[in-house]
Amino acid sequence: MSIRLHHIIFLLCIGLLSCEKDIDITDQLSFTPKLVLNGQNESDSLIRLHLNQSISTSEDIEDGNISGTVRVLLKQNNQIVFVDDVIMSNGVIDLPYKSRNGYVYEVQLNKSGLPSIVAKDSVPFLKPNFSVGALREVLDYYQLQLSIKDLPGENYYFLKLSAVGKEKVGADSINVVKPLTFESSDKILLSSLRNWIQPGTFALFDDEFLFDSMSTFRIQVSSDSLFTSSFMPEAIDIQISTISTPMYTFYINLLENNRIYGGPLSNIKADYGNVDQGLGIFGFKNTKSIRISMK
Amino acid sequence: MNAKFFLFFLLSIPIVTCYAQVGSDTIVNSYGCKGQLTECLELLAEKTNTTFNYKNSLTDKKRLLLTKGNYSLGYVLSEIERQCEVGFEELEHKKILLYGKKGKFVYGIIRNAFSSEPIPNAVIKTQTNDRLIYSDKDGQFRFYAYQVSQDITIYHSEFQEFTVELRPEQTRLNLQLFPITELDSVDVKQEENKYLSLKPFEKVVPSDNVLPAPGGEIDALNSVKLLAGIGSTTLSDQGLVVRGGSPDQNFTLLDGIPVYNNFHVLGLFSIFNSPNIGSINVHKDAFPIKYNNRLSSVLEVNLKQGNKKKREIDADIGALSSGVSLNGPIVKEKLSFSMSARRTYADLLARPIQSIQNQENERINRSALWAYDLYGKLHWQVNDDHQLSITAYNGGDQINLRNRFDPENESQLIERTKGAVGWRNALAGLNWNSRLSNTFFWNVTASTSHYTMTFEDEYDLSGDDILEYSNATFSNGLQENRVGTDVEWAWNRRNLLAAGGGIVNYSFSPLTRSYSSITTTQSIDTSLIYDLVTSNEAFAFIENKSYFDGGYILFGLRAAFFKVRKQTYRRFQPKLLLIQNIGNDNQLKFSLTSSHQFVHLVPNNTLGFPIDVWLPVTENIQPMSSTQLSTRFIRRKQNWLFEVGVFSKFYNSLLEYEAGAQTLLPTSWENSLRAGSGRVGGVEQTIKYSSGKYNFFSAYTYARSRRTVSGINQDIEYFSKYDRPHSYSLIFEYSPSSNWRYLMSWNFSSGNPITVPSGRYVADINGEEVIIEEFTELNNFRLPATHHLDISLIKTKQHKSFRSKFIVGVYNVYNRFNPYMLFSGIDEEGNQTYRVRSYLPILPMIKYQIKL
Repeated sequence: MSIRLHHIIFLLCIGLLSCEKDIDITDQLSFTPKLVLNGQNESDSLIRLHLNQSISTSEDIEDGNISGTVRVLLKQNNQIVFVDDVIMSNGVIDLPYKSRNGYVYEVQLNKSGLPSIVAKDSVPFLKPNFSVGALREVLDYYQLQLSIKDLPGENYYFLKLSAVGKEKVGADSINVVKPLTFESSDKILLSSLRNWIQPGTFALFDDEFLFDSMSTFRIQVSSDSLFTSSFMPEAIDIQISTISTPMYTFYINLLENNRIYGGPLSNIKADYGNVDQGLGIFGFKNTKSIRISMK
Repeated sequence: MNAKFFLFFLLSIPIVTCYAQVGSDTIVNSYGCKGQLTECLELLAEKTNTTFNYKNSLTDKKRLLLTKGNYSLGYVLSEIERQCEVGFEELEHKKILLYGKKGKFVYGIIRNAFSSEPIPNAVIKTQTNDRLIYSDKDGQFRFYAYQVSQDITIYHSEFQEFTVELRPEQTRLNLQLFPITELDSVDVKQEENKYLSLKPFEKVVPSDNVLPAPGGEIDALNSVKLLAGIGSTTLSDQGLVVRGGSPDQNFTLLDGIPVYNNFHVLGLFSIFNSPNIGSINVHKDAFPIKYNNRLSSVLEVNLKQGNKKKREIDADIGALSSGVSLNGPIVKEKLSFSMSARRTYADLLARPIQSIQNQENERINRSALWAYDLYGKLHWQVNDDHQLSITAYNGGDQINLRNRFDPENESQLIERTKGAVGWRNALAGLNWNSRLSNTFFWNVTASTSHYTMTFEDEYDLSGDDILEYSNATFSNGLQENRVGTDVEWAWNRRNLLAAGGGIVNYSFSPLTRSYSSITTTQSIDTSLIYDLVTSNEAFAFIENKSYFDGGYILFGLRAAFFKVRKQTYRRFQPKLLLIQNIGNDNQLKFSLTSSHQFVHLVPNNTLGFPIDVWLPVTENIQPMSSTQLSTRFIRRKQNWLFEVGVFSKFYNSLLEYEAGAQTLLPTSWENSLRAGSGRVGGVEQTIKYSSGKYNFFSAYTYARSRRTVSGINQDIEYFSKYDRPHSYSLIFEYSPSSNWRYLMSWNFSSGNPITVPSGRYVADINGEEVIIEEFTELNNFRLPATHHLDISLIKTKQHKSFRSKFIVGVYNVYNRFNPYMLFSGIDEEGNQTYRVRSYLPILPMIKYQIKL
């Protein structure tokens, strides 16, 4: 190709190239900080709440950490069971109450300078009914077959895998539990479609494809994610939780908007969770765990 | 404000000013009459001392309206003739015979003498009609004439002026006009300057459209964008924004077939390639009742029929695209065809550049963007009274982003990814047009239109013994099948009735997902289609246009019945339009219309790559509706035209996604939407100047578009995504000769609001701390204004065997950084920032066209 033709093509392509420029948007935006509640609790466990506050887009994320005293009110089935000022430790509040299956909990929090927040959720009554087949090694993958029996009513599930083993730290080795990346192409996991495209450490699914009966699906774990030079797995924990509707919605919305951000189906959300006047999630899960030995 | 205009307009109706010089010069002082013709004649006889001989039956039930003034007797008699169909003959001095005059409708058709193609928008001037008559899209026209000889003159900017004598017994005119080639242009505008058109819409003659789009594309819709009240979307949306309404509120028809995606290359230019287009009519006030099923505008685009005498080839080559069109007779003077193809080739040009960039890299990036159009039309002139046409179109856009990791080390895996977005339009239709008499026309149409948008994400990992492949697609689309018929009946000389009806079948697939995966351990191929929604619409309409002195009133009603699942919606859409000329130089227009819409394009308000989705009305989603009041004052003086108008529109059942919507969940899309109300109001102003060498056009619009939706922005009214308060277009054209044209245009539009996050926070996701963006308000950030200055030069030349047109120019002369896409990112210091991306910096415009 002659040099002249190269020049012509180059000039023609100039118009097709994009240009980018930073713009300052903070002048136009009004922002009011809110309390952010991260309260995802297991059933039959002490209730623990994590608190921080939202910050404007120009602030450093560390500015969202909060400390000091918070006024806490906890209701169990509409009966007040706890009201007190609590001093937070690193934004964490531990309440001396265990959540009970099937009970409804409401928490109200007041921190001076920020709007008070209210959040309410119920503890799933039943644990999932599932079983795990043998762990099979196929080429560079480990494959697990899971069978789950759908529970009565409308249900949402949360699947999570962890590797339990020993990690070398210098000359010693310590016991660790680390989240395990897995993938699946089964349509049961359609609602967290992300897992179809890229491996993840958790998956969500509803009972759309369970049809009130026993269903079987497979998940794959790559050997690379299981074995590393410093980690030797001894077992795999498979956890499936029944979760409440707000928890499910919270996760799905975040998956949609933060993991496939800008995709054709993503959409802005004013609020992802169930915290009135604030942000975040207050929810419960009821988990069943099965451990598969690697030995 | 509108109420005042309405009152002003109603008061102005009785003002009648006419000019005529017929008959006796006797002056009748202080004469006026408003009532029975008999009484008026008695008064006239008394004032002029003249005897009128007539039969009593002649004046029965006839009335005259003439405001008090000093008139010549000849003028009064000509008014009686015009208003009461009474002829006169002076028998002897001061003795006049009155007799009944018979009139008739004359039908005509105007064709190109070289090609036999009909000529739309030609101006027909008769001696007995004060108003101008225009030929329709099929070159047809009709007027009422008395049985007297008179001259009929035809004007068109591209054809030589033509005058023909209409003989008393003649009821049909077959006219042929010769194109202007090297002759000096007969300026139709000069003739139009003497009169004001009574058209309720804006006509755009594509051949007059000399304003090139970026890249030098000759875009038929480019002129439409310049009209007051009409603008473009931003941030890679596609479509027109008419008076603050969303793009889906514009009903675009190609030969009467609905088109669902009008633009190419993310809105850069339209699918309507100018050489193929015969005429464009833009309705934004009172829509044609036949097509009144959108809220903002109706855009009628009509393809040329094809040369019925000889074959023609048009070809063009440009910076962005090239195309070729071919038309000619299959059976001379009877059956013609027209076909064309166009494709952009940015992808082909970019390929060598990308190859150079990728030469040394193991990771190869290839991106491509292309668009294409294929048009076809057959037209059969069965005889003088019947014609049949078949139109087909297929076109689309594709964006492919490919990435391939091809390591030099052969033991490593090869990884390929592909992201693709595609839009496709396919449509076909049949139109049967019959003239059953000079007063009765009948049309039958049948059409099908298909639209899809597909998003694809593909991943492929391969090596010696490992294979992994996955492909996920999302698509949205619809299919519309339409059958309709309508008649036009001029039931007397002052009234034209139009009526008709039809049925439409829609089939929407709001969201289709498919997934296939092949790994070493398993293979899966599944397709999931959620909620395929089929619906049917039946409609019937009737409207009547009543002409009076210097204007007309049009009133109509359209009834539409839309059935979806178990829900039936019944909607009635009244329409009122008044046009009144005040003298020769001024005109007032007023319209009041109600419209309903059964399909929605739900906007996706993300910062990233925005793709909107067509959704149907269902039992949970009500049809959108609007009521529009608009009025306009037009003044024409010599070569100047000045227009100013106000409009106000009230919407119901507008859709927005609700906060916290879950669009990925099956069957949840209906529940994700919130309906609300909206209002739009504004002022439009246009100034035009045209003379032989200099043309000037200026259009300014001030419009505000607001919405109130329960559950969004605390239920407080907010500015819609399409709110652009100020829009201004300026064009200056200098034509030193018929071969050269210099053009300069400047466009300005205020920025429109979009939604950006106002805060951030940390959330716990499966034990991990994840930063989440906080959206507090919809449309909380207004983009910077968009403006650009373009200059171009167009040279046409007649060669021995062909005619050429060369377009050269510069788009965005001062390289304005107009926003096209906004996304969040990290700046050099690691802080979060928002980046605006522009795709159209200073650009060359170049295009060469030949016509054989």
